[in-house]
Amino acid sequence: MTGNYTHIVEIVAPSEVVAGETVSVEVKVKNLHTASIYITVTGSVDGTSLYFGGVYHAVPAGGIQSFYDSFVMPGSSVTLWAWSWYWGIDEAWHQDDEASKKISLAELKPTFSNFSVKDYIKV
Amino acid sequence: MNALVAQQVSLNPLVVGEYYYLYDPYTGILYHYRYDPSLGVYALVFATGWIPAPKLVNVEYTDKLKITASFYYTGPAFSGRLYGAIGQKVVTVFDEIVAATSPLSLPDTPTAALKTASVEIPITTALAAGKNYAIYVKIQDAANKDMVISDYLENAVYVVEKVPTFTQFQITDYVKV
Repeated sequence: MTGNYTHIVEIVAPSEVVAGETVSVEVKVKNLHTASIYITVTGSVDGTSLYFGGVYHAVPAGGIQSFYDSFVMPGSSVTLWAWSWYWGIDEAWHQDDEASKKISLAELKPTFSNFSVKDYIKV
Repeated sequence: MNALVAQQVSLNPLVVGEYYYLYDPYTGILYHYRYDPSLGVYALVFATGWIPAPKLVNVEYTDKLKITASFYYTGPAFSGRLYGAIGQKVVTVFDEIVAATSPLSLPDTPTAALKTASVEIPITTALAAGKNYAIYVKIQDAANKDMVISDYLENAVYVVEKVPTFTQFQITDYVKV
């Protein structure tokens, strides 16, 4: 899917994450307009809104801008939704493109570290 | 120290589940590769070093050697065993002579927690008296797959040679018969 003036090129996030781990998200948005426009991104995951820092960028025509946010992986698989917005000549934000990515809950695997012989004695 | 490493090398497959060893003489590290049939490659799963033992424990044939391992654990509830062995260094490989296991159960542990576990190895006549031996421990899962392995401690155990000992030897009496 492509918006009128913006296109979410890619959502960069791991496809599998263990519960409780912080998931970093990058959303890449392309300006489809013939001139520079202001673009911002919002999102949602598991009922929680993502604001990607609440920032907007002036993106030149054809340019691609990244927006970053993160969330804590819940105890089940989730779908991350992202929406791109552009600043119109009516001086208002307009929701434009939409994209999603499924992030599966990874099974916690047994992990051993610093394994060593602590002591040994005759018994 | 050791760690699971995700490096891979392309070698001709030998036997599934068996290790292939590479030794780095400069670092003293022994690399344990295991053939992964799903990937068609040998995967480096452990790297262990031969290190001098911090002490030499004298043991006799009626004794047991209790080895305590410490480690950090993260993960779901785990059932397996702690495996301990006494052996000797043959070139670079640990040649096991006697070994024992003890059950190991760990609860669901979402964040890393320090754990200890012990195993007692009987000192048998398979170990020659008058010699030093090395030790190591490892954790295996319920299917006996190695999960983690310790360094090899060289010269950790000495099997005391029992020689006939006579003391306070004297004539207690003498009579005509």
